[in-house]
Amino acid sequence: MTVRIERADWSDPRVVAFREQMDAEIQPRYAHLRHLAPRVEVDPATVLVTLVATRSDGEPVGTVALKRTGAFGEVKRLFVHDRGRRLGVARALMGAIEQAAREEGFREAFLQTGSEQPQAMALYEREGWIPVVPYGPYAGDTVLSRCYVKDLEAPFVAAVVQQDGTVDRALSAISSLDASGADLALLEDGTLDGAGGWSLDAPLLAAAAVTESPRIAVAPRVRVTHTEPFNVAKAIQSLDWSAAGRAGWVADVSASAGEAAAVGRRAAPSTDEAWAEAEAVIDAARRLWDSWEDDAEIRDAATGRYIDASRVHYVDAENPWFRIKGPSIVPRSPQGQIPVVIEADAAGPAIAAAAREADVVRVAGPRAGEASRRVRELAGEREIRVLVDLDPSEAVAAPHARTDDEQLAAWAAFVRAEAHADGVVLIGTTEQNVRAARAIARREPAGTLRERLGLARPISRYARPAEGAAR
Amino acid sequence: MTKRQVHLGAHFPGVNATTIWTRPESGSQIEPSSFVQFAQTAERGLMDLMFLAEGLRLREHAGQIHDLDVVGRPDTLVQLAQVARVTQHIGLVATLSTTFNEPAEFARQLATLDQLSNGRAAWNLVTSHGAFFGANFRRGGFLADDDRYARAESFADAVFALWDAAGTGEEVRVSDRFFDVAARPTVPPTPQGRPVVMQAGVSPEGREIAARYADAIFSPFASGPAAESFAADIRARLVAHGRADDALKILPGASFALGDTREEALERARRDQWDQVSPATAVRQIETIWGRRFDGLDVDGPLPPLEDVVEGVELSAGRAKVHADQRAQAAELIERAAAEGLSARAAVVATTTRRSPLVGTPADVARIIDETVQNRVSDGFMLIPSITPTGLDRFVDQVVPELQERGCYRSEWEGTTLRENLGSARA
Repeated sequence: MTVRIERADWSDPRVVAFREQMDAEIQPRYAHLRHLAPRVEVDPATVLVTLVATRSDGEPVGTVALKRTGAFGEVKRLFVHDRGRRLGVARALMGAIEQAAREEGFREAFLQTGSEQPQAMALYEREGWIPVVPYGPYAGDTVLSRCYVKDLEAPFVAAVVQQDGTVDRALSAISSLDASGADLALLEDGTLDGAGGWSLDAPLLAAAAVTESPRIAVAPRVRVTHTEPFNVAKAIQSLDWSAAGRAGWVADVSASAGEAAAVGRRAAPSTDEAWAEAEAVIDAARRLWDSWEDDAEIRDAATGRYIDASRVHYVDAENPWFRIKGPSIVPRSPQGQIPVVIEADAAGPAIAAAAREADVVRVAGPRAGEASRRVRELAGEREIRVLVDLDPSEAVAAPHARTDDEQLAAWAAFVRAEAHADGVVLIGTTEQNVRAARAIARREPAGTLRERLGLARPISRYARPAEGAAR
Repeated sequence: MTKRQVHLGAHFPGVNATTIWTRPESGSQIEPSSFVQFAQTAERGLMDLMFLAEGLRLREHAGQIHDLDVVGRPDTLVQLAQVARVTQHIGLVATLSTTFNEPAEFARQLATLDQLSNGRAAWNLVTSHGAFFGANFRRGGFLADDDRYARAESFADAVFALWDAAGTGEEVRVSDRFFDVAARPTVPPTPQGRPVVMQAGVSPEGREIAARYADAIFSPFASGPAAESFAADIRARLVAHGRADDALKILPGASFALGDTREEALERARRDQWDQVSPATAVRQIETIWGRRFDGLDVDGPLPPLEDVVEGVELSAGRAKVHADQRAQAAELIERAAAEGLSARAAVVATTTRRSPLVGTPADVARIIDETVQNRVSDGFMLIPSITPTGLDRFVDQVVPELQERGCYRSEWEGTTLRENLGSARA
């Protein structure tokens, strides 16, 4: 007999009847524990999707729902009636509700069951759910609640790579991360005045790294306050060529007097002014990256023209800080627009630049969720991805955790969901990060960094509409 | 007695009229694989170095982007950083301007390349003309042309001081009319300490900079009296600066053409020159010399008359200027065309393409190189193939063994750093 799954209302009499039956079966098991953890009622307004399974004879056999629980997408009230047993109803309902959660925009789904429901726990574990620390309304309840999480899509995993001025340390860290399945290395840079110790120029080190590590993307930190925007733009663009589309750029500023003195071109600006200028630098870089249309190289022997000069454009960037004529000396790179990463907190001076110019916003700390919400709000229609910092050594174990690796993966999903983030940035030691990446990553990194982030490759802003297009 | 040893460089020509991009074997000028393949071939040929030029703005003709030659290239340092990791011995020369860089960042970048390559980084020191390139930089056309070399010297002194300070970590202070810098080295001491320095200008100021700082010079004079007097001049300047008269390697740029017979090689050289000057390129060369546009000029016909020359008009921007006197150059073309019965295009081919001495069988070319070096006209050559990335293949396979046979070329690397292989004392 086949089973059909359809959407229903939370107050559908069939669903209400199942819920009552479920309570009658389950609640007595918790009577002796209720004083430790009061029952959490479902507010119908938070329910997003309710599903009912019916047999081919029309008889309802089970139900499940999806609700929004704070930042979490929560699967709730899975119930299968006796007459639906051994028809695969539970598995079918779970598959359908996971799909519904994906469609609602959740990257991971959570659920809570109880310590006295070993059969339910076994079912979820069979379906690939892993134990997670009690979340949302269950936080702190390690007696009764048994919570689970499941990644609905492969999570994006980035990791910070520190520098100490030696080539081998940074390159071997990136190579180990590459082998662990991490998507992106955020390569730190030192300062131009040497404060903080020895380091190497980050974009050049990144070019070496992408040559030796075939899969991982690398985004060097480049501060724009004392560097030449034209040089920064072409170095990052060239890195994208070297990396076959695996380049990113952590754009940052410098407000240090030491760096200002080391370069000697200007006094140190305030952080606010530095970020206002950084926005202009990123804008100029983006124009330069678009200054060659993708098909500018034509090699037309008949006319002797190597390029179609009408497809290579001056950018004429002008702002209070500098002017750039353009075009770039580098043809449009594999990604066209290279993902720009900006670190922002909710109240800091970087958030406006992040909202307007970043593709990836890195948030951290107890207010990560607030920063994430704020930057998405400011960005409006512009597509951005948010990554949240995760220190693997601070992972919190679920009471029913099985393995350390599973625990790391669950903790990453929890941190991600709590911060409304699309992925994590591992900020531990290289060893910790490699291990965490291995535990969290769910796919072989492939394709360009934009593709891994789910960002389309834009055509050049200077490209004319194709001939014959709507006019 | 051991012979003077030949040093060879390999120039990836990229953005100029050298590359015959119309040929099917002409590969990508931007894909990293082209640069890697070129470097690995040069390394297989035990060449001292691979050379990349720099262009800080796309070249223009009559106010429009010049579209007839290869256009577009990677960032020099990023590309060399990549090549550094897939080669072990060859030196990596980055052409970088003293005009639009600042010493602290620049010293850091070159030192990084020296670390990434285990001591194979080199800097070809150039200056940039003001306003045209300045349009892409924060300072714009800030530097008077007369000050270009003064800033270059101050810049080089600051950069050397930063490299030298890596051992002690001491602060370097520079305060003059160009710089006000207080910086510490940021990169740990590198294998070469000071990356190798090259210079490529022929002006008196350029030669002075070379005699003072450089370990090698990239000259345009490949043979004949011009090459001899250039070599003599450089040696005299070296001595005046208290350096040994062979402290600086003279590497003239040269294309080459090989054949199984001398005739075949000559024919190949002739064809290369014609292919480097397409009809459209010929028109543009004539326009540059005449200082005006000639839309629709038939280059298989005669040159325009001398009275059409508009003096003082510079149509070409972003490339080194070869001739200052337009009228004299036009007259030379017209005279040559009349004497030899040449079409406009043939006259351009005859006067603007480089004549290389390196044409012949592999044995011929090896002999010419050997003789040039034994006669101290140069210390070798900077080879400029017209096809990339495969243009060096035949040279490496056939000329290099002949050179080794003659006892004037290495069979193994002398050292691990570029400075050691070049035989250049640490300045």
